[in-house]
Amino acid sequence: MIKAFIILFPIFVSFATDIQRDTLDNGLVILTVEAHRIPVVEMRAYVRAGSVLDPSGKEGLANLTGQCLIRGTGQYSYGELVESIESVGGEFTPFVTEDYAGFNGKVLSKDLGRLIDILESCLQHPEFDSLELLRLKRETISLIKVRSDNPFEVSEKGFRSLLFGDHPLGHFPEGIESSVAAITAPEARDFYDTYYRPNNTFLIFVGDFIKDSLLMMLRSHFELWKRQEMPKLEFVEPAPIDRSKAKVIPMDISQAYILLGNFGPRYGEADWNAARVMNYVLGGAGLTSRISGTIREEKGLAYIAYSSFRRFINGGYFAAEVQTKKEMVNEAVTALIQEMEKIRDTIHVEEVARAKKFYTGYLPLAYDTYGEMASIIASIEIDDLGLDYLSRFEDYIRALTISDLQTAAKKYLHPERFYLLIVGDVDPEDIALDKIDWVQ
Amino acid sequence: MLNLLLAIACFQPIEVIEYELDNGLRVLIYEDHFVPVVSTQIHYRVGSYYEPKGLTGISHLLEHMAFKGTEKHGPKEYNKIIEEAGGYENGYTSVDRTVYYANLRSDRYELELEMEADRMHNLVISPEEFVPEKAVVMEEKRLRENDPFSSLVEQLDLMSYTCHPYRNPIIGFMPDLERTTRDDVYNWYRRNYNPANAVIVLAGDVDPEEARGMVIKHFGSIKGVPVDDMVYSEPPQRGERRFVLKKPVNQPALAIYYHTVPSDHEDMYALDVISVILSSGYSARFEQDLVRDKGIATAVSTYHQNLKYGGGFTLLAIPQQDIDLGTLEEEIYRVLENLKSAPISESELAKAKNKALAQDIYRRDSPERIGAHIGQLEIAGRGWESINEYPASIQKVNIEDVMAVAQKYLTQDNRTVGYLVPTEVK
Repeated sequence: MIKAFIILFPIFVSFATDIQRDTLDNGLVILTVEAHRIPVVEMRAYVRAGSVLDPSGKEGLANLTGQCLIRGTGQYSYGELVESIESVGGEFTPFVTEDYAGFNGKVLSKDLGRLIDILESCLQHPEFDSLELLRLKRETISLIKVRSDNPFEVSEKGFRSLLFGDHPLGHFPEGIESSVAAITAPEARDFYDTYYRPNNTFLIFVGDFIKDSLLMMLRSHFELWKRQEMPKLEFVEPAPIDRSKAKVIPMDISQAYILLGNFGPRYGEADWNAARVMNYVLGGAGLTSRISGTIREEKGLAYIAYSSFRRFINGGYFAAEVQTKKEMVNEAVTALIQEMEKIRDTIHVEEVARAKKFYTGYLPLAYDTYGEMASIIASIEIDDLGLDYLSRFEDYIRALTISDLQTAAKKYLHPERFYLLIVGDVDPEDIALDKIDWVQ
Repeated sequence: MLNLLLAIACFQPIEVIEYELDNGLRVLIYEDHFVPVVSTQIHYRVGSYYEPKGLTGISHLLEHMAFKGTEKHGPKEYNKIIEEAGGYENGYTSVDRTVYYANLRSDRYELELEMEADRMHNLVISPEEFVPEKAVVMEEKRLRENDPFSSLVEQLDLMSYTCHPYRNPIIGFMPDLERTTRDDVYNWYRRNYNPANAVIVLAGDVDPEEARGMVIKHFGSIKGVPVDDMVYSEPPQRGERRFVLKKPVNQPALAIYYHTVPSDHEDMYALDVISVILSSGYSARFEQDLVRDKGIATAVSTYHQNLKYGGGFTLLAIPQQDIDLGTLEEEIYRVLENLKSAPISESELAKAKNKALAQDIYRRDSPERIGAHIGQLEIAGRGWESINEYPASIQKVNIEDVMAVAQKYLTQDNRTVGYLVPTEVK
């Protein structure tokens, strides 16, 4: 056994740490990991053109722009474009999040040239045909409606809006019905011209290719893409929470969907590892976490009970989440607050030891497929962690002390001032919480 | 055609080592040494299909209780042990199987074998643990009820099958959950969890010889008692069935179910091809025709499921704003009629085949996924070898097959249609 491990380990380490980062003259960053398990290449393209850049009143602009990139380019119609990739069994899907827009792609390695050709066409020569945009708007508005029937979506959306208000993180990338309806093709074109630039983009390739030939191909497709300085945007920070606020969004469902939290770390925060290991103990570890232990295992109040951090470039938040019968809302909310209080006071040596063992032991599982590897590379790039991060990760985790975790708990968990959002058929009068303002 | 040949050229058969212990435990090993990780999975031949009337959901409830401790390990100790080993563990219940698995570094996967042997033989299912856990499962049931699409599909299954257990929801009916006792669950455990009713799959960085020793060490002494399979059949549907489900939703939706064939039937390959042609990717027919050109649908998805004792072709559709469900339904039938009356092109057929084959190759990037697939095929009675037969079978599908199969199964008399509509105007 030991022998087999020693023989295999170096192969693995080379997959793990051999992330290469190249930059073209125009600023386009290319991250690659060669791997030859199966004849497949996974691709990710990230342009910093997410929904936080939506101008006020144009919520949904970044999303429509990103989605429109495949709806016809200078070279290909929408039909030709998707046919080209899908006829060989490939996948090519646009995505738009709060921070980034881009594409996820996957092809058999023999079709890599085809994928890059399509990528170039979409990133550099989109058309923004007004009829295509009209179609996209209709589809988007229908999707917003579909999501308004899903209590998970309604609660997250409501919580984000309560927390961030008018800050761009206060809305989802898809936007709101009225703003989406008003967006025009020239506006999408302008947004594209401003943000879709090589110096604002990074590409990731993982899988079965030879790096030098890939780079040569990418150079010929992307070196003429013109760089341009990005506008400097200042966001007005949302007001810190000085007093707890709560809101009920009525919905005719058999449970209450509860979210409770406060602002949290954004990308690049130095105490991120401490914060996430602390949250692992509190509510991130599945059934063995404290929140799940109390609310699910001990009290049987809920199927889902956990806590998490959501991080973005311009902000972040912590939220504890439970879905329970409406009669049990009080008990569940009280339990969440108590767990936050407790972890600020005490974190046990065994809990930290277990969390550390998990994080260090789990590392190879976190990127054992091409797709997972591509995702990890993206987070290394976004978080600016350095290409050798994976080889240093275990040291970071081992170095954490109880005091680090407690400092993070005190910084990010605020059981005395928080925002609480409840979706369901719940009357605020039935919730016995002191020092809280109910908002409409 | 050129593209198709190339996709097939990328397809290499997989190798699986298989054997059976004296107690009937089947063991399947798929080697992949790319990363030092092993997915250890145990698949039991028990799920909602096998459940007696009045105790629906009992297999899933048992799966929950299977994390609540054995004679040797207290509640949640299993989770803690795997967690400390840096592993990921989970369990799931489906129509025909219950699966437990853990992905661990390959120097420690024996832990999971040891824990699964313990779970197979020594579960306690204490009354103190049973009461809150049943409440948790009832909350899980409520979560599903609050999701309009889950409710629609649940109702669709109920209407499509009249007496066959495929009609029952995997999570069970609420009154059945209420009535199920600790003893019911314990008896269900004793009846179904033993080596002769299970398949172990080890996928990843495994030394097969060493693995054999471990499996024998941990499972060899557990007695195997074969569990009789149960065969139910659904009488052929003779005429369309329709229903309306009212929920407090903003967005109406439509679901259609066509009975098809069990997993050992030749027609399943053409049905897979049809599903891809209709709804896989942006270039699929429903997307291009109904979503984009006509602007009638927001999304139309199809799903073809083959199980051991029956199969079905499910279609889910969401209309765009101001389009009524009747119009959407008619337009869907127009697309299906087109498939029956006009031959598809060579290139469209080649694309569908390429997609089906590529998906099979993509799956090989993950030992966990390929292990789950192997286990599923074994339980469904098709055997892991069908992974290797799949490309040839898909390649054999021709233009006439697609038309003939569409004509045979996608008929009015063979379908059940459900409308999800808002209870009130908001």
